[in-house]
Amino acid sequence: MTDVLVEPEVASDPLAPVLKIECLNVDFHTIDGWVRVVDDVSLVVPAGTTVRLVGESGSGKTVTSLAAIGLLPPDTTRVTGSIRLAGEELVGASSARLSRRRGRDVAMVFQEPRRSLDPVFTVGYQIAEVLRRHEGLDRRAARSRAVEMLDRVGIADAERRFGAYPHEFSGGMCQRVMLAIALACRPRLLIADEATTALDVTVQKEMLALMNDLQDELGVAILFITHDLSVVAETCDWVNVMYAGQVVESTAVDRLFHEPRHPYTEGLLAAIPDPQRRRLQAIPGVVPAPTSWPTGCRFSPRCDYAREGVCTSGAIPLEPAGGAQLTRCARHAEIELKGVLA
Amino acid sequence: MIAYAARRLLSAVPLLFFLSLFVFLLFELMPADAAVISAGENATPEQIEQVRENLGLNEPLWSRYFDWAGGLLHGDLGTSLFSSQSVTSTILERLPVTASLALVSMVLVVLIGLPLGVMAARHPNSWLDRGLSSFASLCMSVPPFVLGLLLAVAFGILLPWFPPTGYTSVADGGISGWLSSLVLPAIAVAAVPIAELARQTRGSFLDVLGADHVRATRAKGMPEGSVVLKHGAKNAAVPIVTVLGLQVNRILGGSVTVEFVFALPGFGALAVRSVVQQDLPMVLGIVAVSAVIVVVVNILTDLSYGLLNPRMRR
Ligand SMILES: Nc1ncnc2c1ncn2[C@@H]1O[C@H](COP(=O)(O)OP(=O)(O)OP(=O)(O)O)[C@@H](O)[C@H]1O
Ligand code: SF4
Ligand SMILES: [Mg+2]
Repeated sequence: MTDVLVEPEVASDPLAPVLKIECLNVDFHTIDGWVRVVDDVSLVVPAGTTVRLVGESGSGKTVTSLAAIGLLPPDTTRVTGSIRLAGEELVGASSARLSRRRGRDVAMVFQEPRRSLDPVFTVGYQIAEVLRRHEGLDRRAARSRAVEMLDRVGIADAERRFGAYPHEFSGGMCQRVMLAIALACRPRLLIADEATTALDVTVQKEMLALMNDLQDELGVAILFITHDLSVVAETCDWVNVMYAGQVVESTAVDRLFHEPRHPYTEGLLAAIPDPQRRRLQAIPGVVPAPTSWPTGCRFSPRCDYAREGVCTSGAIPLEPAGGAQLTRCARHAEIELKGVLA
Repeated sequence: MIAYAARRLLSAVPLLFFLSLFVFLLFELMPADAAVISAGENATPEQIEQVRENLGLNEPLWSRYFDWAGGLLHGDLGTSLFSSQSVTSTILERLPVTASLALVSMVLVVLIGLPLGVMAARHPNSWLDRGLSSFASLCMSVPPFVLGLLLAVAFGILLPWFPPTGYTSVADGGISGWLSSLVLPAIAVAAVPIAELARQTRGSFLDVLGADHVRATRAKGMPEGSVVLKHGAKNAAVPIVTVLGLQVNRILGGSVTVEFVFALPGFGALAVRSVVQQDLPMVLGIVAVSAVIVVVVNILTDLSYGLLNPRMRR
């Protein structure tokens, strides 16, 4: 293995961010020409922590995460800015270099566990494959490590289940297998893109608990992507709220629930289904398509606090709003927003 | 698996009888008289009557049919009306030529059709993809014998790179002699199957390479070669193998006219001649053998599904 190139800064500092995205822009080539889908996104995932990326459908969460793992198709996308994974710049890196990082330093689990496993290979083979690729294990060693991983993610009778095909597994078990594949080579960062959304509630809980255990055991950092703020409350250090291709609020999780500083976050909080509060209200309207982002604040057409002029005249910057909290709202200092926790 | 194959083969028996009955009736409807044909040009009416008696043509249709079918069960396909040779031995003599042509054609189909399809799928709507698709349409619009004639003239006569006609067996000309006598006819036979296989391969790979699990395989850091050629190929294989199986039929069909054009002494040329000469036993024998080949290829295709796709295992 030749690639032990780690920047000195990272090698010496265990708390250096494992993922640092700065001013990321992603444009897609469409029939209408180049369309910007992710606009000036910055976010940081410190080693071993959990950072969440929250926002409604279409806000650019998946595109951001695919950029972070180097999976955007190079001929139809343009990525600018900086994405550093354990200190190594990924923007502009060759595809061969990126593929050596994926699965080893950064791994990803997706929303549809059943469709994310290859239907014509056994689940065991799919775990062993990643070990053989990145750790150069032979068939037998990879097999026994794969069985260990299956066991570790809670598949009963792992030895026998090694040879099962994905269609013999339930959705929850498939997601456990995906997790086994993702964590087999002990990556520093796991990106979980709506990893529990497609599962039913009890399975979802088990899955979150399993991810927590594995995080403690392996010290892996997690970038957890969800459109559901209720999942954020579980265990999480930092939250980035995304809207229409931008980060609109970035804050520690307790501050987010107590003191949101962006009207969109307030709206998301009010939309959390909660049996005690019983006043679920979705934010009216939908996320605008990337081709029709409003000038000024992109949330302004849906915002109760919008003011002509201050909100609509020019691009709104992401500003500090007390401590390390950041918000992209021109009126954050004048308006009083409601959290959900007393 | 073996029981399944045996069942499938047996289920082909009724098909075979239906086909042979059809050919029997077809010949019955034809104005020509087998006895007249067989007796030769200058035969007297008495001689013709004698031949008719010898061939059993005075028997009713059903009795002649069951005679033939009974023989078939013993591998006896009767006697040619012309050469008075056994149909079985004539066909066996000619089968190696057609098998050689089919083999070389199939190799061309796989070696050219598959990679072209994969390349087109890797870069959809690129100039390569568009060029291939026009090329495929062109291939499909030229009948094999026309292409055969063009090739024979261009690369057999104008540029004498290959023999324009005739067949050289491995025994006579070695591998290279054998191969060079088959290159032009094989290209003529293979052109349409190449186009069809490339088209199917492109479609299947395009579907598979856009699938979620392929993205997940890339997310594991598997190298592109493994993503496309291992995971992609195995997932795309079932429809591709299906189309490949169909191409065997197409190759056999194409070889009928192409063998004629290149004067290859094969099964297809025999078929053309026998039909022209109204040699009923020979035509029936050819139908029977072709039907068996088609059925066997279908069974092999079916059996491969279970190997390729775990969800299709019985
Ligand atoms: N390949 C593509 N070509 C063009 N536009 C795309 C492409 N992929 C995504 N987009 C656009 O980028 C925007 C952001 O999509 P993205 O999938 O990142 O949203 P998301 O926040 O993950 O939403 P969801 O909750 O539905 O997963 C959407 O408007 C989408 O239409
Ligand atoms: S800038 Fe104006 S429109 Fe935008 S969120 Fe703040 S108050 Fe609402
Ligand atoms: Mg998404």
